[in-house]
Amino acid sequence: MDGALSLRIKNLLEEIPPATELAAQWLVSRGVPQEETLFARLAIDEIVSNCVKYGYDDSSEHHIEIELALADGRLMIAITDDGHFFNPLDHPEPDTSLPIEERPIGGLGIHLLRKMADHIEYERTFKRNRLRIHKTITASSSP
Amino acid sequence: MNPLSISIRKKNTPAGTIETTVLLSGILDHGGTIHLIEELQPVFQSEPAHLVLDITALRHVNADGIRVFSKIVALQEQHGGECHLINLSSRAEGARFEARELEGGVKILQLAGNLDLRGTQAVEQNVLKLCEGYRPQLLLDLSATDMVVSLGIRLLLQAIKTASAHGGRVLLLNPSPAVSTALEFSGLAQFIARGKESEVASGMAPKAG
Repeated sequence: MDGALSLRIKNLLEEIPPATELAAQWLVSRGVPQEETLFARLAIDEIVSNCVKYGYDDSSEHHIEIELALADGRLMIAITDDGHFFNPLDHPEPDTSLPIEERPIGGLGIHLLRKMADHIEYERTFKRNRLRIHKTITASSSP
Repeated sequence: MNPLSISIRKKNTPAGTIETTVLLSGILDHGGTIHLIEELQPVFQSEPAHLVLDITALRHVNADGIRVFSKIVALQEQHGGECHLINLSSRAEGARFEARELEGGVKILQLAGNLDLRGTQAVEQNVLKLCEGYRPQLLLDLSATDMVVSLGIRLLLQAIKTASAHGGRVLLLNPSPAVSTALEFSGLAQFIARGKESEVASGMAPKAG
């Protein structure tokens, strides 16, 4: 099951669905179960769309790198961009216990990832954001 | 040396058609896409074939490489064949839903597809429109949805709030385990309906008198 794949896309929303599909297809071809494949799709969709929407204030073309790595029964997803400094882990957790009328719409992306991932790391180096998301591939769901 | 290695295998299927498997390994960048299309030309020009793209051994794909998959799917279809690679076509619809009304005015929305970026964008306006009527009672059937991202959760939350503001409500039916987990982590577990569609719908219908 071990291996790695990197995808490089432009900072355009329409580039995200095919990249997500390709990543999912690659994980399936490597025998990764549905639970972790869906998690990878969620992670790429959440982080990359956030980066495309809010990461840049110029009209230049930028590239976003998506890396998938499988080793020792673990999945690692790394997303690197050259957008504004943004550490999603700094954002406060939303209060999901509030009555529905008082609940703000939005702000749930990183919250979902935090809940579902084993561990998330952020670093800013050479003016680039890099988020690494780790998830164990559960033995019970392995093929 | 070309960073993309392409290996093509053909076999006859029991149905009498030809299945062509294209094993890609290495790097699929701009040069790789040109090389790939060149190699596939004879396949496109032959009898309609079932084309399988095996991407297990790819190590890097850039934006040109991602787009070339959509092009291959389109070219293969143009020549009357099929291409087995999950839906990378830009023409994919994302998600859709069908609405039907039950006795008592409860509407069932049967969603087909994922509430990811593309899926949510495809259905959001129509879903929200249905939440704006007079005391809307909506049952959103999620049995054909494998995943929901935060944009999809946001749509569900907005639908619940909008219906509530119009004196109605929205309940969520048959979520998969993965969707249930996302709903629970988002604080929407209370809106998951328990029971069969008919029982839930009958409980939602406004009582006469």
